[in-house]
Amino acid sequence: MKKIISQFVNKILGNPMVKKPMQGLATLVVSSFLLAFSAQAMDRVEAVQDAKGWKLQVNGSDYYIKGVVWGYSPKGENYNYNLYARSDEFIKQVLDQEFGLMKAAGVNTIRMFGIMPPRWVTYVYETYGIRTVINHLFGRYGFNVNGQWIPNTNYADPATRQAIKNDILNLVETYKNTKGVLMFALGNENNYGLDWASFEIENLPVGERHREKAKSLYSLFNETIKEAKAIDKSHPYTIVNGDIQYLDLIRALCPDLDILGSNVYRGESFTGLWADVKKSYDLPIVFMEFGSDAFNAKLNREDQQAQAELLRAMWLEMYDKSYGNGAEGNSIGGFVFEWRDEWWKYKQTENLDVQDNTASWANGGYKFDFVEGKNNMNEEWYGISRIGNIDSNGVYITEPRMAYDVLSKIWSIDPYRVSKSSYTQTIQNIDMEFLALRSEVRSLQSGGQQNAAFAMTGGSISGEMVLTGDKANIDKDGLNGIGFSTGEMVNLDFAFQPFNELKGQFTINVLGNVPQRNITVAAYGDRALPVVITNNQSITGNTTLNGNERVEIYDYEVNYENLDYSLSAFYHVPRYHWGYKGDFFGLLHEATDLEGMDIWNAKAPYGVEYTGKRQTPGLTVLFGPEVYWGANPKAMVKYDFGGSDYTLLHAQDIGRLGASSSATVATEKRLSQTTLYMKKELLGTTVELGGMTSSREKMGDTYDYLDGTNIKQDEIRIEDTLAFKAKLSRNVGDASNAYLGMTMAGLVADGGNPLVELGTKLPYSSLGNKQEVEGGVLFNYGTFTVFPRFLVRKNLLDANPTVASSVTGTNLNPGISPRNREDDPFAVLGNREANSAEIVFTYDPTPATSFYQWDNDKREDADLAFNVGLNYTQYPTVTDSHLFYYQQGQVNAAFGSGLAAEDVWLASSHMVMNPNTDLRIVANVEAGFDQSTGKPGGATRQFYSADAKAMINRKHIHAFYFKKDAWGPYDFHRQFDITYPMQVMYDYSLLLDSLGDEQLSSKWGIRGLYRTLDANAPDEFQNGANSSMFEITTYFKANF
Amino acid sequence: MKNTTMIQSQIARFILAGAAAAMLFSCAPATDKSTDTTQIALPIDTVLNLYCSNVGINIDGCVLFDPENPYANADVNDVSKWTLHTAAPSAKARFYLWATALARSPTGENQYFTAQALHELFTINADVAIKDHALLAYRSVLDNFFGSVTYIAATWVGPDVYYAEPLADKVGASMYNPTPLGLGLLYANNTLALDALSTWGYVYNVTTGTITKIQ
Repeated sequence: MKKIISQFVNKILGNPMVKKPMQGLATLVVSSFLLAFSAQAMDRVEAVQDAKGWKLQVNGSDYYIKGVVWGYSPKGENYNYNLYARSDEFIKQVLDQEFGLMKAAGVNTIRMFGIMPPRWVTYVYETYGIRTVINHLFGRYGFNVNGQWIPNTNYADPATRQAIKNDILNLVETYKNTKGVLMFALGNENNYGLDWASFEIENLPVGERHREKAKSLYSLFNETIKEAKAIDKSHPYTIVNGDIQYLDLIRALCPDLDILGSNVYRGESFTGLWADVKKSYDLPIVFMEFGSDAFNAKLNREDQQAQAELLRAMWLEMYDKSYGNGAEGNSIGGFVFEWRDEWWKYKQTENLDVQDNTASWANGGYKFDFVEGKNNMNEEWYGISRIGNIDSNGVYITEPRMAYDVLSKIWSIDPYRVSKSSYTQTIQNIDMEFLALRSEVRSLQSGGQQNAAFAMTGGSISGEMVLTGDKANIDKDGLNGIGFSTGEMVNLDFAFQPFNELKGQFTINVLGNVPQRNITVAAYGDRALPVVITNNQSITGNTTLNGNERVEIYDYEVNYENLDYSLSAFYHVPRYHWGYKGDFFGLLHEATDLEGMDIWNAKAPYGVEYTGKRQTPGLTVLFGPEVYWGANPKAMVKYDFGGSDYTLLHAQDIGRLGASSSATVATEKRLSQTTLYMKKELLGTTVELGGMTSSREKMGDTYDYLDGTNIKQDEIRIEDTLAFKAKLSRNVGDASNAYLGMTMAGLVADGGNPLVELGTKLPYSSLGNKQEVEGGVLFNYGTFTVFPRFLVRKNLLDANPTVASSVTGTNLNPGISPRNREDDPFAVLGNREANSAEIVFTYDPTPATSFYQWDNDKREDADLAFNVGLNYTQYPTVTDSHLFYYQQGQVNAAFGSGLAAEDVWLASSHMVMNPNTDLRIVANVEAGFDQSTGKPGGATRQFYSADAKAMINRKHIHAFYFKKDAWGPYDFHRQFDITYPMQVMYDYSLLLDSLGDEQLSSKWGIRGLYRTLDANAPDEFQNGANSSMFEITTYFKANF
Repeated sequence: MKNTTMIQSQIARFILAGAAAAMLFSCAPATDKSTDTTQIALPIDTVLNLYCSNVGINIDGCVLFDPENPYANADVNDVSKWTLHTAAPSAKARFYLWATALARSPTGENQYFTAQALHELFTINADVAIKDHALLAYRSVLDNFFGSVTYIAATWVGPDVYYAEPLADKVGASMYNPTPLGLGLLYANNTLALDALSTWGYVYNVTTGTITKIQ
């Protein structure tokens, strides 16, 4: 531009007689003119029509849309992943890979579910010639209206309408001059999501309610488009409709629509769609989504050829229906769904690093794998390319499928320039067999390990050096009192798939040396520490065993799946609860804390699960030696029926765990439980009811209790095994929710783990012997929520006090003592009488990344999100005696008496901060006043703790904690009421690769632990001889 | 399919309604079927029914389920057992007391005094079955608790002064020469007692009054 101006100026005004100032002024005038001209010379995109049909033109040139729906979702991520939060260098690496491949195939446009920042839209266009459709979702999945997040958008609400419209007008303003924009699109199948409720429409017949809602939707579309055109007339406007539903309303209410955009999944032909549109509302049609998955649900394997064949047929028809081919002439192109597989589509927040084969809906138009009554649309397999492995830059490689090759040939044709007979011949003559073979070879070469019968898939090597010391030894021996040891560990990962239906993985762990620690009293690998066998009878004395358990299978998982059922065997892999699948009483505990289990070398969960499909739908059978941590060997049978509104569940212990699942947690007696659950929507209220019978094995067992001053003895009867539970929940206003729950459980009607949601600290208990009421209201104000809750619980029978036995004449006064779960059929423990209230305030400006999702620390994308909670609980009565596992005797032992009546409280806050793309901080602060979980007699503790972790540049991780007067880090510390005046930890680790993932990256680090001691840790304190201890570890881990 | 689903749903609703009703009824005051155990009569007779073949022997806890055991649910512990022992009105009562203490806490002391109560009972009722059971109990002290001791108050020295006495030696004395202890003979003569100990693997030194294991 500068050169043009100066050349122009020199030519016209090159007269040496013109003074320099005049030349400068001329330059200014010409520059302004040329700049104004260049602003007006932004793209002009329009749909034009004549007798032969419709065309899209960009700056007067014909433009047939050869598009793909694109987004970048790496393995392990879902819709919350934000590529543009990464560094420019990384973004460019991703875009270069993706758009380079697209350009080679002939793609000219993309459509996205997210919004690409303007500079990257321009980058992609200028570098690869690919244009972008700017697609605002129009509140399809909820919208923020005046600061409040509304999950079900109400298009009739004036405030909502204004909010959406304003947002879009701002978007248009932002992108109107962005080079590379093709058009603006609004929504995504909004006509399928008209779920809001309002008084105005509730009186209409059901069929009419949706139509009324649709009128609100389409009128808003047009209102928005009309006002947007006042800002930008250079780009056309379309909507993204679900098929051509409500075409009559679109015609009536959207007169300003330029193009009809729709998502269509009718199979290999779009049937009468073209004619229907031409007849009803003669507009050009662009398919915003269409295509086929690449998984054959009938054969249960990938089927690239079927996908490619379908796409070939679809594009041939689209070309036939384009301008000048003698048909309707209203096809202007489309966006294949989709560019690459997304591994989050099934379940969306679970199993993100596994490509799920489950088909989630049925479509008879896809005949290659359609079976009447069965689903055949596999959402995680729609890509014309696959997600491959990760490269050294941290970018997941895109691996084209056969469809990519076929479409490359189709997109090399310009349907506006080539005759119908010519392109038909070209497309029909595509050598599908050759491309099928080519795709097989490509699969073997690059993704071979995914399909191999057996392969090593990776692993890790780690090592550490540990220094330990305490004041007593250092005072005594000086530096010789400091201990030094090393450790080495190798993990080897393997995967196998001998045939399509069977696949699995396992990991072998190999230990070298095992370090000796003092503060970290238990860690994974300690199984190989020397074992000393004491032998009083032996002349040679004790025996030390070394080298034991150096090699073990760390985990394995095997899945077999066919059309009738799926069967999985699992060993020490994460498993989830059934709390949202009809297990109202929480019988199946979640087993995802593998790190916690590894400390004790626990191998749970361990078992086999059968899930019925065709012949036994709704049936699930689970059995195994330890199906969750601490479980007795058991079998569980679950049957969902009545359209999944009902669930019958039976759990039967078939043995008793032989030893504690950790060091000191007591084992439980065998028992069985049967539950029945129902869930219904009644008058806008969700009603959940459940009944249970539990521990029938204890019927006839005797127990004693104090009744006034008399000691009474009774036995467990049938009514003591019954429990009933109810929960009512109801939306309040647009986004708030209220609930009320009640539980009545007999003396031995023990259930499982209640659902703990949204950061609650209410004192739930799985045990029976209670009448309990709880409730709360979640006030949702969009970016923040306030959740007050309460729980009130009474016992049917209180804990026993201690009354000493005595003799009067020849009569024994037997006295009474606290019960325990080993010697008595029940005991009052965590189910003690309680009056608890709490309030939790949560601030999360990006509610799409739920603050209470289990992996929120990794996924939260807000600059700042945090919660603050306060819980106050009165325990007006004492408990019976807790148990602990006595390792040497391999038996449960009772503490002998219970915890005192006490009022406790906890104040806590959890924070996640992303101040910029290079820094992420997660922090917790807690202060509280609480009791031990076992040992009686100790003081109730006032404690404080703070911890934080910061990740900088996805390379440096700093973590620390500080605790004052708090229990030690293991469960047994609180069980035995062991506290420390001060505990401090600092850890620095350097990630050595570009993955930027604390778990997956190779790393080097150093960690220091320090604690001071007092009489509350008698074994370590040694009556004052030892006042502090430390542990310093340097470590490295190489993942491969 | 639809009919089956409807039927299943109806059944489920019925069951849930029944469960709710059962719980509601269970909350209503029910007939009191409990037993008052504020005071339990201690046995003063001399007829002992052995509830199981190893009642009062090592870790067999069947005495806790014996309906004739008055101490089954009483607060018997390492402190209260002495008070209850002193107050027990009969050998039979003392047997139940120490067998209960043994079932709850398997120690040599509890086993020895169980054996002594059986020996005492045999002395009174001359029941051969009781005699045999006493011998089983004594043997259990030697086999299972060989090194255990009991503490005897050294009152001649002063209050709260105790000395340890090996329980194995007391077993030897009880079997070899129970008469000074006020107990009846378990064997026709003391040579037979020594033979029995020898058969079990032990030697009783009649001079020193100590028992050793045969290696």
